[in-house]
Amino acid sequence: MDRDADALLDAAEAAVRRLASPTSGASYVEVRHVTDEREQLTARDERVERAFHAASEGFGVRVIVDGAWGFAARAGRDPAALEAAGAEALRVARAAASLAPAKRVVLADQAPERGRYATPVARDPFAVPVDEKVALLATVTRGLRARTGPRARSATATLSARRQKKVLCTSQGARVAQELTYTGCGMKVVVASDELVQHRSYPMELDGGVAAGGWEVVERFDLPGAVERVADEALALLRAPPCPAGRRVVILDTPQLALQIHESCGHPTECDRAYGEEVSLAGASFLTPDRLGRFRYGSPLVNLTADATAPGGLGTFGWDDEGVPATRTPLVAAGEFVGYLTSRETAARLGLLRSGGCVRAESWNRFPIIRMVNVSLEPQPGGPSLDELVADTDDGILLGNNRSWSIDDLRLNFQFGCEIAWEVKGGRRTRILRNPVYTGSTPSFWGACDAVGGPDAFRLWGLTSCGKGDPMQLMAVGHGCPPARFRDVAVGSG
Amino acid sequence: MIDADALLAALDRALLRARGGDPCELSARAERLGATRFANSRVTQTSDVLDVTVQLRVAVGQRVGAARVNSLDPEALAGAMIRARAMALGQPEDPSFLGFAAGGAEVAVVPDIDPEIVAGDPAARAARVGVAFAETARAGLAAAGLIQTAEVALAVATSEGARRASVGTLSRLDVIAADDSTSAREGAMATRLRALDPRAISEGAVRLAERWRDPVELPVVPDGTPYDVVLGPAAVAEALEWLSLIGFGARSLEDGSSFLAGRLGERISGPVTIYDDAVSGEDGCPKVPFDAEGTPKARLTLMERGIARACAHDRGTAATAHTASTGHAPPLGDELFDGGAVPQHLHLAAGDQTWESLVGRVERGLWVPRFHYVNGLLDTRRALMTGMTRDGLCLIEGGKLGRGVRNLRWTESILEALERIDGLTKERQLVGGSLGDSVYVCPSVLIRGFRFTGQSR
Repeated sequence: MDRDADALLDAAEAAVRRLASPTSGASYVEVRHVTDEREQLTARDERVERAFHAASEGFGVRVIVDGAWGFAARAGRDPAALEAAGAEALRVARAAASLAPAKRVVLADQAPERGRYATPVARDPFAVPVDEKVALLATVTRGLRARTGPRARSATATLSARRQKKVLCTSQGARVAQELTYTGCGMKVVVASDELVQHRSYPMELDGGVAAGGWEVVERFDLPGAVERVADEALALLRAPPCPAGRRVVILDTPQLALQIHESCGHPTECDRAYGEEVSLAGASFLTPDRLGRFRYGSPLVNLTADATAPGGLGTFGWDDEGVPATRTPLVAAGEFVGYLTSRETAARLGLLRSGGCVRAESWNRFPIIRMVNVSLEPQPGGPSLDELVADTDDGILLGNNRSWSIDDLRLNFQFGCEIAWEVKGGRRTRILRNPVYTGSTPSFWGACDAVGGPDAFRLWGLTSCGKGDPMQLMAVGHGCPPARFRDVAVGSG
Repeated sequence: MIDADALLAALDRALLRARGGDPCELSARAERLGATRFANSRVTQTSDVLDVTVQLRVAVGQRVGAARVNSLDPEALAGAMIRARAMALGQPEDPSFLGFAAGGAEVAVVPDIDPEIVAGDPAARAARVGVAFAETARAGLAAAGLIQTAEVALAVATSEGARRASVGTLSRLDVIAADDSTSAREGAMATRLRALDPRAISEGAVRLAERWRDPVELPVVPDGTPYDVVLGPAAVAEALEWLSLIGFGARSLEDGSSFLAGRLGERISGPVTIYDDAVSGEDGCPKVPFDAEGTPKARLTLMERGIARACAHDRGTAATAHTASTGHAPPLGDELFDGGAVPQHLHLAAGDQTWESLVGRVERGLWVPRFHYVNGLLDTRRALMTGMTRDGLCLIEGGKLGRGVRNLRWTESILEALERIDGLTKERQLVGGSLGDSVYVCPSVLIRGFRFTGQSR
């Protein structure tokens, strides 16, 4: 990366100098170049259905003119693309500045950062031969179909890899280069009996299991090793009764709890939402600034942290897209709402000395906005494992992978559906229940958290398709958690 | 300005360079996207992005690999061809692959472009945002929202002789008028920027915001409390989008999860007609004459007066089902959804009512202008979905629009809800979707006994 990154950094730095000249009117300039490389292979019933490699690169230039933001992006890496992006960024900023000039953008201070960061990778996922990948997918889909027999309707498996090379220079002296690598895999089997259709996935549906790292991520998830269990559970769902309605004790296993954290803690602590700046698409937040430091979000066991330094996380990096170094920020401490995911702009508005470093753009062609990093539920020291949590529960329901998700525009009322539930009686998992759903309101749900697992039960999950912004941007984010238990939750069947 | 002919010419050059080699398909999309977002009567983000994506698919025997680059440079395209071939070589033969689209009659395309959008002037967007600021300020409210313009060119060329190109424009303005105790939205979408009336849109948002102030709470029980509802076009569009995702694509029929699976030709819902149409331009729907594989599009009736008629295919699923592609290969760059062919220009056939007559027939119910965060994966065979309301939920009492209501969660089988449909408006509205280039043409509809299951507290 070094020589290529150096050349791009030099070009970006020179452009920053030109664009920040007194004649341009720009009080702040930020130039990014991103090279984005993806690969995906998907097999369905042993047939390769999707096999592609995608590469995209370009310059994104963001400026402040007369207190207003402007952003423009042009494809490629040649000087003409950078020149065009810079000129257009000034033009759109000037147009914006013509409106409401009194409300000027102010940025929190940031010392100029210089350096390089790369995701540790043991085996480059792009260098693994295609036929090796195809063989793995075929093994998995063949195994799922064989195990589920005539009930099988489809078996799919997927492998994905992404590498982003980013350079960033700002008019305040930042000069950083990064290489982020994500690798993932997943599988799903759909089974049917008469009118009933069920499915089971591993490690998660949609994204599968994705983490920062190389091919070792795929080896760690060991898809072939999970085939029998996944297939057997899918078949068991066809025989299972629907989840009965009522108010129950609920244990969330980590794949579902990760999404619960994402929707009910990650999004509402985005400071731009709290200020109403995402209201036109994703909505706002019940965690308004007047509640910061004086609102009970959850029980005293609930500690939620934004950590961009966690090894293996999809929200892990060296610097965010404003050149702020990766850091760790408490969001909820002992149940109290204490912090936001912030940008330099929102940090200044909150009166903070520094940004929490949570600004990222999907790629070179999108305006950088506040995104989750790794937003995680901290384990309780000495807390239980999943089995111990079950053993400690007399009457409840254990919920597995997510199947459906919905939450209101303030992030209060939610409903989640899961692929599978196990009834817990007398400290033991008993029968499987199908189509479980649970619903609640965020503060009362987290307020009813009465047990959080220990460090050994902690898992860091990745979601690659967090949608936010308009135009929509999909971001890779991380969520770590041990399993946790919640009292008096409304459950039922979808 | 983006030149569709130049785009096609670049694909032609790449094909010429690959002549004599393996069969291949090149599909390109060039886009200039201008967007200005605002909140609290301040511009928060404004951008201008120009990009091009080219996807190359190469068939080595019955093995197909694909590669994408965002460049028209001949060397970049040649490099992508090598990558696509490498992806193909690592695969087993796929007997269902029937080759790439062949030539034949050219798709006649009338360029549908707005010179004002093509000019890409950010001041044109800012001027309209300024109107929204002024109109909301006049009512003591702040404005939030988005104005967006897009110029999109598409081109497809295959070694089998297919050559297609088109270009179009689209614009959208959404305005939310809000203060600490109210919030409501109005919006519009059109292929011409001048068709968006920022004053009328802002006034509509202000009117609804005034009505929604200090909303009341309606009682609902978790098992479901039924209310008669008039759903606005935006709410209908979100339900249609989920029907498309879970049931109108061939892949969901293959695995049996679709509500259409095993029921084609049967009555599955109320007497409504849903069709996909990207070619007629009804009610201002943008025209997309062919899909990413070069297959010409045509109107496709999916449900006719409640009877399941068809699903959407690309060339791959069509081969498996021994039928022809309906021209629904997913557009390039749609990374959000990996579900294969799904219709993205759905229309709900209009009725003969006015909005006022629908409301007038509701004794006690709700006006639902918009849904939020719908999820249709609860039980796809029944099209059981859940979602929230937002942006101006109001009571209807004695046939008249009443005061605002705090947002509610609903959980409902959309197929069963359509059984209880009791009227549609003659007027339909173009609404943008969240899936790729998806747009929907929808009337307002009156549904009896829509099931609400929770509240936003």
